[in-house]
Amino acid sequence: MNYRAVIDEILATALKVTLEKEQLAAIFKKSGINLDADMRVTVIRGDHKAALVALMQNLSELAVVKISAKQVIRRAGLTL
Amino acid sequence: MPVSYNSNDPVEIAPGVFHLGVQDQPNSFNNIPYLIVDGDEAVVIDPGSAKPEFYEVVAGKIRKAVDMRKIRHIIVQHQDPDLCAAIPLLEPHCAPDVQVHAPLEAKVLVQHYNFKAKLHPLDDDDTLAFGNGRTLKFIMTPYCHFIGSMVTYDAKTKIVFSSDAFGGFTGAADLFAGPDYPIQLTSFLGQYLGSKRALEFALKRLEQLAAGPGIEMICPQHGCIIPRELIPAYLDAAHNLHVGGEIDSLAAKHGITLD
Ligand SMILES: [Fe+2]
Ligand SMILES: [Fe+2]
Repeated sequence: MNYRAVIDEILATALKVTLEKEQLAAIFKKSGINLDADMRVTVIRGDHKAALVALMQNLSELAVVKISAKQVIRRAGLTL
Repeated sequence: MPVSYNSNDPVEIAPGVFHLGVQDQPNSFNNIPYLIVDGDEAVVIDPGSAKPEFYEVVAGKIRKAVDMRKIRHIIVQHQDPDLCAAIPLLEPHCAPDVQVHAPLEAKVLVQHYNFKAKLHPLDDDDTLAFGNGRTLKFIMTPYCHFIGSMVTYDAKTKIVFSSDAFGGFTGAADLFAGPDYPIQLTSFLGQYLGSKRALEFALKRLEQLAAGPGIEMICPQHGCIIPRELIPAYLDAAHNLHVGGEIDSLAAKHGITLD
């Protein structure tokens, strides 16, 4: 499973549904995913699946993005 | 017409029809009541939240558009607090005989917002006529997303006030659906609707309207207005929407098999 592609799609969707970019970047960073100034993934620290699991936990702080991300994960056929 | 709305000014989207939207950037869940003014009468559709930062914006916009004492009717299209909680705040400023109208199955819930106005139950194809004959028609959309859910059709302007149907997640104060709206709509409705059958019924009712008297705009309670030229594409997109998927996710997580 290409977890990196799922993370990228969650981010792309997030940028269409929220204007809270600073909060979004902070949540990604807390999950081990660094974003650059253009809100693109630069580095994922450690295992990509673990980063995705952490991201989904941390996204509860920004519910609209988590709601969107759940659907991305479902479309990818993942069960976390 | 402007391309976006602010917190001060109602936007007249059709003659006598005002968008009273309140931006909710942190939650991407903008809240959009509508006001119809015709002659000496006014109607508020889905008046909104009781939170002061929402209600004060809506009340300020109504005052700019009409003398609040002309509001004879408040219509709520289902029972949720994001559209009903403002009723008790709004009603003291309305006409003394103001009535609240809600779908039949929502009525038992809407009463708990604790307002004094008479609560009038609506069923499918009921109408509300203004003194001058203008008619609003109520179209039940059961289980979309609640048994007592409906949309309202204004025959004069051919606007459908769609409540949560055709809503979307956005923190921006855009009046009309832009290039990101398909994803904003899918992100919201894909998760908040549970029944494909309920959605299909609602869509087919709207298609009957579109093929008959016509639809000029779809005006949801969240997100952006869908203008006439985009309605066929959004109806198609809605037919392709996957809804109720949270059940599949949780069933897989908990090892539950469903038919
Ligand atoms: Fe709702
Ligand atoms: Fe709503």
